[in-house]
Amino acid sequence: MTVHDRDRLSMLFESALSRPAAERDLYLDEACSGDATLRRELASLLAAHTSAAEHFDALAASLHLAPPDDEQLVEALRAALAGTYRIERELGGGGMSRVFLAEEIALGRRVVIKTVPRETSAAVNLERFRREIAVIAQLQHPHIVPLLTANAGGQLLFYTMPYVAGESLRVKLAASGPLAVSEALAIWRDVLDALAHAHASAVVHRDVKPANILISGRNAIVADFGIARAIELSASPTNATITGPIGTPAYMAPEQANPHDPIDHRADIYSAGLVMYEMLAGRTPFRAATAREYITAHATQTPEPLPDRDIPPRVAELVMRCLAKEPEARPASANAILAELDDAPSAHGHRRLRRWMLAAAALTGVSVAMYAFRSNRAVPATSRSTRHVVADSVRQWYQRGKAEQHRRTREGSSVAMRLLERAVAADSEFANAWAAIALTAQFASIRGWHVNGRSPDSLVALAVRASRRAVDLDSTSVEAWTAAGKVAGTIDLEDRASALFALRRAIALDSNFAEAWFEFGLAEEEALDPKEAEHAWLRAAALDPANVQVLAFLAFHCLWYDDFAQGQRWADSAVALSPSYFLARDAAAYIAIARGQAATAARHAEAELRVGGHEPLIPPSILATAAIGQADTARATRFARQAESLVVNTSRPSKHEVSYLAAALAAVGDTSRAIRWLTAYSPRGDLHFQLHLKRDPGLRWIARVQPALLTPEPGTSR
Amino acid sequence: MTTSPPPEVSFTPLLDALARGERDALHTLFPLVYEELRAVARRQRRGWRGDLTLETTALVHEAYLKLVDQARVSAASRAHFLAVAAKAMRQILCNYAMHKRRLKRGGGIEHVPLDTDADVPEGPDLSDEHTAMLTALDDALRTLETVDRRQAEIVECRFFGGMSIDDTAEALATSPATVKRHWTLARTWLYREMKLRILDADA
Repeated sequence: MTVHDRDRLSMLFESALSRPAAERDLYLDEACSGDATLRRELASLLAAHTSAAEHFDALAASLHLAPPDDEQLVEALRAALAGTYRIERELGGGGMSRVFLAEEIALGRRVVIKTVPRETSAAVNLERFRREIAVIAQLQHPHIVPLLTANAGGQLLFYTMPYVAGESLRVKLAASGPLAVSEALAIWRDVLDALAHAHASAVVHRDVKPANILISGRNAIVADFGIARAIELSASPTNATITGPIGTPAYMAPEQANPHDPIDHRADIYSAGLVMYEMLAGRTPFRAATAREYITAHATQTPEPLPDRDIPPRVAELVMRCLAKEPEARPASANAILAELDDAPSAHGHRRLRRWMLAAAALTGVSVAMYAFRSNRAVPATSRSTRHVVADSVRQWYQRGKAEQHRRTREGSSVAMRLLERAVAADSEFANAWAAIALTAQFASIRGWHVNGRSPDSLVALAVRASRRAVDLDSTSVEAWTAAGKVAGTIDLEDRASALFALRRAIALDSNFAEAWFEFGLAEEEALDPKEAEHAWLRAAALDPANVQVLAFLAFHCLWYDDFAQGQRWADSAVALSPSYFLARDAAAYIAIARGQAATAARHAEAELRVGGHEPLIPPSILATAAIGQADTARATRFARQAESLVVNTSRPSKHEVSYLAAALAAVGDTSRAIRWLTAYSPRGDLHFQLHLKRDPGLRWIARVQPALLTPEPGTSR
Repeated sequence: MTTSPPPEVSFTPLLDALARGERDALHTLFPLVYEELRAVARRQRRGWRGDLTLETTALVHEAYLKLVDQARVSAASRAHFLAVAAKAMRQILCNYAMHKRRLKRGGGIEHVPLDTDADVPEGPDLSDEHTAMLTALDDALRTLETVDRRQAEIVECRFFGGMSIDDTAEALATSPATVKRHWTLARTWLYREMKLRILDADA
């Protein structure tokens, strides 16, 4: 091969690499035009490319050679940042990520820009990542390095944070070895304070380690909150690139090693214990060198006792308790550790109070996107419900009201509303009753029902007011946060971040509350994250196996992702538990249609008709679609027309009804009418509507015929 | 750590010649830089007074940085100097890897006195895996030199010298775009060769 050939080879190789992987074969066919040897050579090189880059970097690192700067990355970053940030210099990276010091041009301030490793960012759904970051960006605390933005340029994903002058605890420990007990305690308190605040907002750090703790003056500030989790949550479910555990093996809690184990704030407690251990001992409590050894050590090894020095026994005992293998055996929360430290005699008796004032000061003037959470951000996490005693009679009204609401019928909602309003009239500080009112009003409003003289619009207003009141009254009530999440998801359909934020907070308060998991699943499904949704719904079903709503949504989920056999099992269980529940019937019917069992579908629709009254367009729509399955076009057309005529008689059909009507019209071959109905109900402003359009087997044709309907309209709210 | 005196050799005239395209200058310059790099490494070694915590490769790299830092070369010829030093780095590291393999094959019977045959002072070992990779890389680079000498030089600069695309382009009198393109190809090509060599050796 001549040098000229090498030039050609390098040009073709570069050009092939610049194309999406799926197009490369085609490109090679064209570019090599019959030169089989050249084509083989290029294909072989392309196959080796990714491993080659990784192995060269790894070899360079192991030989202590500086890996050549990935100029492409820096260039891509510069291009993506042009006009906004000016890169000053690279600060060095942790692991595969790169860290840059930059100037934010508009404000003239220094920021730190971190890139997400390319292998990881390729798997990340940017929109989702942004939403997750938006949740984290709401954390405001003197000991948390706030996140400013997250963005992408080409394949590059990066996020920014303010520049904190100082060194990391990693550097400090490397330079000075074990710290004085008083200094270690001061740093630990700051870290725990930051964790307590984040955990109260349902944000788990998942990568607490000395390198993420910055020492600035006399303060310790924790960086990279929730990034690990955000990356994990936003990884596309079909992409298997991110398979291993996310975190740093040396500081990872035992349960973090298994990606399927649920992780909660106690993983951070474990890591915080390790950090404190290292500050006191100058080394980690395990004899391990490699990632694998560390993971095994966390799971099996007993930590070595702390060295015999001037450590107060109560502190030593507390640190060792943080290192318990079982999350249940660790201190329950960061706040609990702080309380124990405060009880222990120390010179820092007054620090806590000052911290609170600092935290409160940091919060003043911070614009918080979520309407409901403004007032209680600075409220200490004590439960009002424990102080507020509800009279038995009031509690009974509340419980009966909830039971009525669970019937999920128009009548049920009406009775529930009367009972719950009676409850709050008698006791206006009963947070959970307000939460139940919010849920009842929200449920009725999206179905277009009038309840006790209230129009759907005034029901929305009531839902907002009631959920806000519930959270204000008791910021530790899981029901209040669940209602707030549900309502936030309704009033601004574009804004899943607020809903997810509130629901996470609910789950953090009580991870055994099935309703919160259910709502979380729904919000995730609407955010088009089926993996997370299914996980949440399975949790909800495990906690409350008789919850027909959860079973019905699991059935729909299976319908949407073409797992009809499993879907039928869920739907059958839901129907068996509650034969009059319309969603169970809907799910069962559409799964039957998908499986070619038109008669079964018709049976479910007729059963729904007999119960009557919920979403009247749906049974005839199902019957029309089922009739097409039996090749009875005349019958199908009759039912489709019947469904359409009902729109006129219904004051306000729900969007569910409209989507099923459209599916029926399309089934009988009238796509243009179907599109007209769908367009009339502004699907672009409604993520739940979008969900049906994108996932219902009867509506997937929309993507081909009318793709514009599937583009959400930014910033629309209902 | 003792402060090393600055290199006594003046590289500048040779670097200027190299910059003018006189490739012969390289034959004179290279042994000078190579010797100097070894000397710096030896001085550092003594400076450590028996502290064995640093790996040999780290030591060589330290020496490289020091040499680059101390050599009084003009800004105009800096890139050329870096390229020569990168070549020296390759030689030292690869010799070290080969020496280590010889020792291993000889079961440790063959004794190689420090600072004569071995190019660098001993430290904790390079792992067997990396020794194998380094040797395979050197072999593959030799093959690449016969196919496309420029690409091999780019690898020396980028990999062994840690030089930027721009510095490499300047030293080799070509454009950054060309360096980038060849680096991408050469890295992949070498990796494929190395894999074959390591597999062969294992078989």
